Amino acid sequence: MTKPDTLGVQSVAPILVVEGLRTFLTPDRGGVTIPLVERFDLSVDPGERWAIVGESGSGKSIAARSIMCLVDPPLSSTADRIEIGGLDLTDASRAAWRNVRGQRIAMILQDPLTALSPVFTVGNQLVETIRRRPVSVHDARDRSLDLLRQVGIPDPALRLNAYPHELSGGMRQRIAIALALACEPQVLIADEPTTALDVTVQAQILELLVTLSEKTGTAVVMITHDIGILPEFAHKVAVMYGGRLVETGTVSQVLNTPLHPYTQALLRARPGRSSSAERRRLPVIGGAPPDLFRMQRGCPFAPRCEAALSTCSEIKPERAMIDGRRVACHLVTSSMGTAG
Amino acid sequence: MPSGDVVNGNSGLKLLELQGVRVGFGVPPRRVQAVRAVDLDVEAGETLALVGESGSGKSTLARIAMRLLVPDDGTVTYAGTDVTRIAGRPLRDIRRHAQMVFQDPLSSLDARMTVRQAVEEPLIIHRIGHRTERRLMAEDLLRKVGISAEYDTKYPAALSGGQLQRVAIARALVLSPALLVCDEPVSALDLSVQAQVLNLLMDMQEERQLGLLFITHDLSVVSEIADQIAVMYLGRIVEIGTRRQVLGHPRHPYTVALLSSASGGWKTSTDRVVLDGDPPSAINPPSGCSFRERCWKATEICSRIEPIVTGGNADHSGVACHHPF
Amino acid sequence: MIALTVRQSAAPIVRRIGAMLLTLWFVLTLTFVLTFAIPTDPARAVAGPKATQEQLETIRLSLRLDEPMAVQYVRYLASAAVLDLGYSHSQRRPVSDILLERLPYTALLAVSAIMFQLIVGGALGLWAAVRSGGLFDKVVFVGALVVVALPQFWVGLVLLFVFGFKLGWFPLGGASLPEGLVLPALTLGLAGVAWTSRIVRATASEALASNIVLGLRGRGIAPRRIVLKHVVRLAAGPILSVLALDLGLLLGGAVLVEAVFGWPGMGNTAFQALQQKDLPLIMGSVIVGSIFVLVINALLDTARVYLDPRTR
Repeated sequence: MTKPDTLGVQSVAPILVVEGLRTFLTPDRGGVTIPLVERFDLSVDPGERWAIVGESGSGKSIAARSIMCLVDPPLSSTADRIEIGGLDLTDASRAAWRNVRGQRIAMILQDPLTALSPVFTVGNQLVETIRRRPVSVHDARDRSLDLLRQVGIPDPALRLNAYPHELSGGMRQRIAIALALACEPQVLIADEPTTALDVTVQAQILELLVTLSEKTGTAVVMITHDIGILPEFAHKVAVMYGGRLVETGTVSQVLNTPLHPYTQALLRARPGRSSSAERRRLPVIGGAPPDLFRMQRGCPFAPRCEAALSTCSEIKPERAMIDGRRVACHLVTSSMGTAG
Repeated sequence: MPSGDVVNGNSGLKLLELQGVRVGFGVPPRRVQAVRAVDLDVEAGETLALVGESGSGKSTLARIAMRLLVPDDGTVTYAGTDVTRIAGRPLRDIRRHAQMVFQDPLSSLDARMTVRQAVEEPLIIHRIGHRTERRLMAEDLLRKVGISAEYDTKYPAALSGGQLQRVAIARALVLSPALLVCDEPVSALDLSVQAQVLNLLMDMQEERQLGLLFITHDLSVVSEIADQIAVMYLGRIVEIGTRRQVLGHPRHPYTVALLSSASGGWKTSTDRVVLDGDPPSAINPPSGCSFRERCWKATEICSRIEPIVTGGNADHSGVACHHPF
Repeated sequence: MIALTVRQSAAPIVRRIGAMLLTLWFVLTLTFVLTFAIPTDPARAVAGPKATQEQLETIRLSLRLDEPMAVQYVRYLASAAVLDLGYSHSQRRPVSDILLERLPYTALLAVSAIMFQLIVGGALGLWAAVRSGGLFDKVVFVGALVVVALPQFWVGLVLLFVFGFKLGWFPLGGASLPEGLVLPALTLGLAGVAWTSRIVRATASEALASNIVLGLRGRGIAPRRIVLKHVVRLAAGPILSVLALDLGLLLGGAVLVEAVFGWPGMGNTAFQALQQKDLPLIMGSVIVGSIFVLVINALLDTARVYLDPRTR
């Protein structure tokens, strides 16, 4: 698998550019608007695989939906810039977005049971999606069979007439992937696609996504809380906390030399790294995940950060470029003596 | 019958013993054998992790261990006493021996009871102490599990997942059971909170010499908390041994596959193994070894004879396989 | 029980028909028992208040009321099975003739009311869900409450007055088709529109907020298609279930509506039969009414299973 280790010179234009994405909640009866995602930037090259990592309250799922402009009131999102495949969608109308969804950028959701409509057959739903382009029903059926084969479903002809609830979770997720790829999008956003599946099936699905991504050149942005899948799957990773990006970089950079205290704590606290005979207490991150409704000033991680400075609770850190990666932390920037 | 005051340093006392346990559901031809001939035991102060995916029967086994279910065959023994088929008053009495913590704390706690009431309830049911004593015991335990006093009068909706699970643990411990059965207690929690709850369980275990039967599908969690590990597949135990044995030198192909796909960044000596197909349905299991259709080492004997667990000793784990590593 | 074990192996349709026959038998028996419970002497009802003892005795013998109950019961079931429902003394015709004449009218009225209710109520509910929180939503909400509070006969009379009398658009009652059907169907279906719109709104809102619709939007499927194809199917199940339960009320309402509009249906007939204490006719109406409800129920259930494959 091709895994670039450093951010080399970009000779190819990125397939997805997001700058300054912010999503906020506007309560009905006035009151303060609550930011759920702030200053989210992402630049994805064609065929590149990103992982966006965070826990609950990190805003990662909301960010994913906002990229596709799929947020509904009382949530709303804006961005300084969104470009997909060179197409500028920053101020695009709803109709323009509808056009783009499925064709240039597609999404896979977490729960395979509800990602597919339970009242129509698999074939019906596949054909419906394929026929967004002018394709005859007959050709659409052929293409659906082809897609099912691509995602590794045995006996595709049989499955076309099946209903989602008749199939296993792993198969449903494969069909969801087939649906997403039906119109050959350039970017695929996968929101925790393996969380609801069995462990051995998770591995299958991840492998499938990697294979498909390499074969079709589709870029993938995967939202996950599971750092363990990163080395096998992603080229680059973005860590989110409290609605903000705290660290981004290549997977080997971030996993081997994490710079942000949250990333470091997360990697330490992850169970499953000891095979010693003795049990030990796990290092914990004290406190609880952030409550986005009661965010204080300053860095969102400050209340739980062991190394917090006084500035950390006052001023939100800006993302600084270090070693070809971005980190938002006062400690890091002050020790490096660089900014911007 | 020890109802669970701290069993002091009596490692070797089998708090729970399951032998030849079988259970099935439904009427033929749609009968499902959820658990097929399982033997295991849990000693005081030790943790047995039961690992498996959906359809493995691990949750059903947990319920049998808790006597929430009566097995069709086999015996369930609490500290030497056969409790397999008891009912009525004796059944209620043995509830003080084993307690359970469930996966989703929000649905296992009554939304209309305050935190303290939830912890007091077992005491009320078993008529322990009077009102003030119960209140003190409940509050005491809540402090111990790390819930501060301000939450005593709050309702579950006001607490986070991690906090709720702590309350559930307090509730399970208030009767001072000797055995705690935990069915995926941290799966629904955030990563950073998982560690906290696992640490709490380990602390409580050490303090009270609890036996812990820990059900999970997450091997990374298992690697931290388990002394013994039993891997289940389609209602049978396919490998059982100490943590070091099972995680360090797994012998059953399924264990190898599990470890290789687990997200703790586990790498075994073999390359990453990705299994074909889905976890099996228990309605029509394959003949012989139920894992053979997904097993890359399967041969003819695997389809004829169902392997049973053999060879567990101090050096390596017991495994049910015709071609173990 | 034997019935249970047989049912497990029989095909669903056979099971369904079996259940229906069982229900029918139950209704027949209940009706039979009730006729003995009501304080009317059937012989006197036939003969009238001025009959002599002798005449009553003769009638009683001819009606075979002297035979033991068990025998009467068996004969009753037997004649019901061949649809010989007896003789109506108030109309001097066989009951089956009367009902055969009247049933189509009531069936037409009921079906029209149901269609009206589903289409209009469904559309209102869907639109309210799509524009939830908006003005339309609130208007529909309040409107539904108001409509449900209005008594049906009053609504019927008002409609008759305004559209029949004042505007002359529709006839003032009677059985002409299709003009005569409009107002009665509207009246009967109006309450149904109210609760249908509420239920559809609730299920449609739920569907719109669900992951299913999110997935559809994520694939860029057009909103119109999402609503008309997917949401409708998803919301259909609960409606049909409630409708099946509502049938009894619908038929009861039909009695009133038929009275108001002079619609020559079974409701009217049953009402008059009650006044005349015409037992055979009463029982006949009950039986036919039950069959009607059972059949429509079965149809609705079939439709629901077809629409939502999860229930199979």
